[in-house]
Amino acid sequence: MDCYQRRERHFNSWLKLIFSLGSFCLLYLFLIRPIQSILVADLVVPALKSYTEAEPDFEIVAIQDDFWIESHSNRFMDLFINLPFNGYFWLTATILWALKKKIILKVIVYYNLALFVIHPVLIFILLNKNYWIAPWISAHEMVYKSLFLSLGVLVLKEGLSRKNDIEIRMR
Amino acid sequence: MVPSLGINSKIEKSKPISPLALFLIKAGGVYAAWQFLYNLVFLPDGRLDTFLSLSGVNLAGSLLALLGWEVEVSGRIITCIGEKGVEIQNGCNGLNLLGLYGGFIIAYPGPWTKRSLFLMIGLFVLFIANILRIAFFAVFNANLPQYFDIAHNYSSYVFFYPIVLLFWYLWTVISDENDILIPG
Repeated sequence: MDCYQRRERHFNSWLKLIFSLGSFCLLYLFLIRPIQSILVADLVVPALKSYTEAEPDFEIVAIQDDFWIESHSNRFMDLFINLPFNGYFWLTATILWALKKKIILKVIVYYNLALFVIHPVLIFILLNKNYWIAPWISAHEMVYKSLFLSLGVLVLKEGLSRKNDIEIRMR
Repeated sequence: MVPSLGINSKIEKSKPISPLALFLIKAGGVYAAWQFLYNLVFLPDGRLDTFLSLSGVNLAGSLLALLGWEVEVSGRIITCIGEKGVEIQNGCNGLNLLGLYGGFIIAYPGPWTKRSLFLMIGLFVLFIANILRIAFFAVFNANLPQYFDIAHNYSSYVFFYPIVLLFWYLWTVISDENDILIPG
């Protein structure tokens, strides 16, 4: 590959990335997030409220695409939970897809699928008055979202700076 | 009878942990520690949140006054005189974003002096961004109160996340470290 072809390929990578990120912004802000907000407000929160009807200590409120669980007795504070396949997933997935990092993309898709089990289990434990788990849920939310974003930035930096786009070998 | 090792037996050497795995473990640990610290210490205590909210509101008030706006600041509430005010609650002061930013900078390899400097600069820029965001809220609410919820909902995507992601990216470049996804 000569210098011209390399530069053209580099330019195309940037163009594809910018186009992908633009599409992500539009799709996320005007389609995915509104749908998730509706799901949270009309499905998740009513279900959780009906489960905790007999327990007045819990307050569960839909705040955009998050649902917020609070303890009236201050056993824990400000617990925000997102649905799986939220904005952190879509942003990272967009970058991974644009830069063809299929293995990492698969990993984060599987993790988000696993969240359909992880979240209900953690919330079920909490709503059965196991308050100790609240900081763990909060930490889990912070950790997985931050790691997704971090992976996105690492792939962005290393994917664009590499001449040969070699797929990652996970050990 | 103990089986003897033949000449061709392969002795497994313990593989060193990959830079990516090491980064993920470190970053996960830092983020978890930050969130526990925040949930169990800072949030119940409230002083750090209150400091960030009050200082943000005061500085946003000063900024708007400097730009010629007539504003009134009362505790957590900032008001363009004659209009509706905006209250900055503890969840709205950007503290969580500061933790998000710091975790990556701490976990990604690089020299500590450079890292500390970069961490401080980034935190300062995010603090300034929060002041601009509060000032924006006050002005927006005075002019287009019917759209305030939309502005509030999407403000992080404009004021915080681009800065965090840009500074993370810059740190991966400035730190002069080898690639950690594909080392070498």
